[in-house]
Amino acid sequence: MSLFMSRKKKAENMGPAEPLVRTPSQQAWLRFRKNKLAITGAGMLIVLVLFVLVGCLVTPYDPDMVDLMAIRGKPSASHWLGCDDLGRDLLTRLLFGGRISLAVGLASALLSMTLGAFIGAISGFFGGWIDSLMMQLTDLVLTIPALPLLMVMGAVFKPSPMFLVVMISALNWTKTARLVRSRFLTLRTLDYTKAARAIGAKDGRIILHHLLPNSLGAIIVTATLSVGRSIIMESTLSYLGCGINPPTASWGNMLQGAQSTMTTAPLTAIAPGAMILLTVLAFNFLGDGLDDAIDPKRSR
Amino acid sequence: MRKLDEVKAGDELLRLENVKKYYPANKAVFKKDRKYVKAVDGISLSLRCGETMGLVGESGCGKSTLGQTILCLEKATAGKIIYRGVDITTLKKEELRELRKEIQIIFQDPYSSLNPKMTVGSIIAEPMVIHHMGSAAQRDKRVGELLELVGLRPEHAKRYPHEFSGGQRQRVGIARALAMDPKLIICDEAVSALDVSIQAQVLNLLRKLQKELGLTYIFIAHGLSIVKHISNRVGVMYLGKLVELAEGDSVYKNALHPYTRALISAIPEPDPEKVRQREILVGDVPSPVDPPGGCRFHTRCPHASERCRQSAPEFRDVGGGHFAACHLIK
Repeated sequence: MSLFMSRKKKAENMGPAEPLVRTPSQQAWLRFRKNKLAITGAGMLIVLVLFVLVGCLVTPYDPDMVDLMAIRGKPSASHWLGCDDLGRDLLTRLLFGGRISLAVGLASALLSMTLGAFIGAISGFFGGWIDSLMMQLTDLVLTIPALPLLMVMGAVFKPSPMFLVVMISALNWTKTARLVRSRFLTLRTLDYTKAARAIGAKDGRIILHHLLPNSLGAIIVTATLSVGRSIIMESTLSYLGCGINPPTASWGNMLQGAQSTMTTAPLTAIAPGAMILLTVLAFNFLGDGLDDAIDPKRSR
Repeated sequence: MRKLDEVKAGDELLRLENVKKYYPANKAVFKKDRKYVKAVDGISLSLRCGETMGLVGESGCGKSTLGQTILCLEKATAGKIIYRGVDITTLKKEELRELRKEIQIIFQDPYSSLNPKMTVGSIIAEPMVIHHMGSAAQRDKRVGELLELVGLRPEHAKRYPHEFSGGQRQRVGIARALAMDPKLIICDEAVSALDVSIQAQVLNLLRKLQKELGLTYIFIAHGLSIVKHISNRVGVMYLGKLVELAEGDSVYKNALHPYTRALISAIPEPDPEKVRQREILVGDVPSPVDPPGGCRFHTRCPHASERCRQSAPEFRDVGGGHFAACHLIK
C-alpha cells in the first residue's frame, strides 16, 4: 500500500513533462543502437578486449616460459590450446600477443587521426599555398611504398612497439587528412562559419568550435576503420620479422613461428590468424555502423 | 580603434563611395588575360541612422556580395565604406574585430546559419564570449532576455537548432545578431526562405526591434513585394550597379527605370478583376564577367536605343532624391 502511495505521489510531483531534449550525439547513439552491424562489432570488441585483459591477469603461465615436456603439446586440461614448438602455452601467448597488437593498433589509429586531422584542418581552412604544400606532402606520403620502407626501418632499428606506432601513423594519416580537408572546405563556406566571422571569432575559435565538432563524426569513423588497418600492418611486419621481435608475443610473429608447426599442430596458426581476423572484422563493423549512425543522410 | 563619430537618428551612419568587388574568374599568368567577375561594380549610397534601405535585384546581381563587403567579410576591391566617419576598408584585423559589435548580419537560410552542434544558448552567447562581455551568469541572463525579445522562451536556450522550425531558427539568428547591441544589421534575404505567413511574423519582429532598439537595416531581397513593407528607401540593383534609388513609395508609384518597372509588374496582384500590364523581360542576366557595354540593361530593355548601346547612363538625381540611371529619363 505504502509503495503504491509513494508512486502516486511521485507522479503528481512531476508536473508537466519536460519536452524530451536530445543532443545530436544522443540521437547518433539511438541510431547506433538500432544498427545490427555496429552492435555486433562493438560486442565482439568488448568480448575480445575483456578476454585479452582479464586473460593476461588470470593465466597461470608466463608467455615466455619454455616447458620442454610440453613441446607441440596437444590441447589438454592444463594447456587449453596446446603448446608451440618451444613448449610455451599457446593461449597465454595469444592473450599477451593480443595486448600488444591491440595496443599498437589503437595507438597508431589515435596518433594518425590526430596528425591527419591537424594537417587536414590547416589545409582546408587556410587554403592557398598552405593547402597546396600540405596536399603535395600528402601525395608524397601516399606514393611511399609502405611495406619495403617499414621492413628496412624494422631491420635497421629493431623496433619497439612505440617505434612501430610512430612509423605506422606516419604512413597512415593521409586518409584522415584528405577527409578533414574536404569537410573543412565544405563547412567553411556555410553561413554559420560566416556568422562566426561576422561576430569577430578568430581563426582558432572557428576551427575548434565550429568546423572540428562538425567534422568529428567522420574523423571517428576513419579512425575506427584505421585501427583494423594498423593491426594488419603490425601483424604483417611482425610476421615478416620486422615488427615486434620474439620472444615478445604478437599475433603476427606467432603466425611466423607457426610456419614450422602448422601441419603437426594447426592450432598454432589458426588461433592467432582467427584473432587477427575477428579483431579487424569487429573494428570494420564498428566503423561502418558508426558511419551510418553519425550521418544517416550521407550515402556511402 | 579609431574614434567613431557620434550619430543620432537621422544622421548619416554609412556611406559607400564607388565600392567595387571583383573576383578573379581565371588564373591567367599575364595581367591582360585575367578576367574578373564584377559582382559589385561601383556602388555609391548613403544610409541614415534609423532607416531601412531595401536592396533588390535578380539572383547574381551582387546584392549579397555588397552586404558581405559592407561587413568586411569580403574585402572591397576598390572604393570607400565610411561607417560613422571611419573608412572601414582600411581597418586592421583587431580594429575590425571591434567593429563587429557595430554591424551584424542575418542570413537567408536558417538551416545553415546555426551550428548544429551548439545549443541555442551558446550560439547566442558566443558573440559576448568572444568580446569578453559580462560574466557567465550575466551572459546567461542576457541570452534569456534576447530570446524573449525575439519571441522565444528563455528555456529554449538549452535546446539544439534542429528542434526548431525555420521561423524559430531565424529568430535565434536575429537574437545572435542583437547580442552585441549593433547599430546596423544587414538582413541578407532574411525572410526569403520562410513560408509567407512566417515571413510576415519575422518582418513584424524586425520592425518592432527597429522601433525599440533604434536599429538601421539594409534589407536585401530578390523581389520588391517583401521590401515594400519594411523599407524607407529602396535601391534596385542590376549586374553590380544601382539602377534606381528612391524614397518611400516613389519606387512603386513612380518607377522610372525600365528594369524597376518590370520588377514591379512581377509583384503578384491579389485582385483578379484588376487589369495588369505585365512587362516580361526576355533573356537572362548577362554574365558579370563580360557585362554589356553602354547601359548594362540594354540587352533586355524594351526601349533600348543606339545611345544606350554606346554610352553608360549616369546615376543621377532626377528630382526629389529619386536617383536613376537611364538615358530615357528627361
